[in-house]
Amino acid sequence: VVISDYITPVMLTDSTGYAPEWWSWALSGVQVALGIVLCATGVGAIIGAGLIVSGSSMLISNTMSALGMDDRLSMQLQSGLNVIAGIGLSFVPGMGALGASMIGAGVLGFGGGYLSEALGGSYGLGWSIGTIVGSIVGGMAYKAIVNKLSTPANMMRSFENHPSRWKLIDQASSQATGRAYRGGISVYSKYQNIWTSGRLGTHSITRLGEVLHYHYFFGF
Amino acid sequence: MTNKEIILDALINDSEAITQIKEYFHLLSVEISLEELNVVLEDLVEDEFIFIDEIWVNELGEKPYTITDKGKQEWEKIR
Repeated sequence: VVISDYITPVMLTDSTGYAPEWWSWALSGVQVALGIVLCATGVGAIIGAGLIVSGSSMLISNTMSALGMDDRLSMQLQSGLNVIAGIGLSFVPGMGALGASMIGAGVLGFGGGYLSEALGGSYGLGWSIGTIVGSIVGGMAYKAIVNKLSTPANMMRSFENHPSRWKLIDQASSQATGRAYRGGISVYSKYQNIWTSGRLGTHSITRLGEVLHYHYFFGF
Repeated sequence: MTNKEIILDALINDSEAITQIKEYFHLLSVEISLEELNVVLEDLVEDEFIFIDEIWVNELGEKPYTITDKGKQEWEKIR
């Protein structure tokens, strides 16, 4: 009873006895810093972005706990916010990778806490590991999906069936002077997919409305 | 025009991959096999009239050929 009186929330700083410990703050800070370094140097953007997401999540969760919120609840709340924000970002062109990373962090963080408890560990440790792993797995899954969608065949199909998903990023035209194309206009157009950032180009030569030459190109 | 001249003509405006060059032959109603076309392209690269460019690949993964200044001078002769 005496011990309980010391650690119960007289100062409203440790309502559950699980307030963030120094390692939790350090881990979140290290993740954000390492993530920024990985992204800035281009060494591992996917892992770097994942670490920034998980580090930021832990920082926010730690802050909520430090402000008096039940630390377990703050972690679960942060996981929920990650999933909701991640789903929202998935619908914003160019933000899909971040969204996927946040969804992964939220889901695996939430599950990781319970798994850790079931295995006899603390909820916080499992949540931390789950959040880190989930953010990286989410980013990698997104990358894998984008790679799958960015094969030449898939990009051509998307360009033909969903032209509104492609924005023109560069175009150059010139007079065609080859014997068979004389009098025609040669146009090189470069497009970028607004969702996957995949790039596709077209080269056409037309004369009086007739398409004499047309092909796609990639890898620019 | 000879096959070499047709290739230079096909490339005088833009870089093209072998598939597009073959289409140019077809457009001029000139029959040429891929093997034959490859041999002529190799000769032109060796003579420095054209070079294999790295600017893009087409849907078949083929790199384009680009005409050199020497190739342009040669093309002027057949114009």
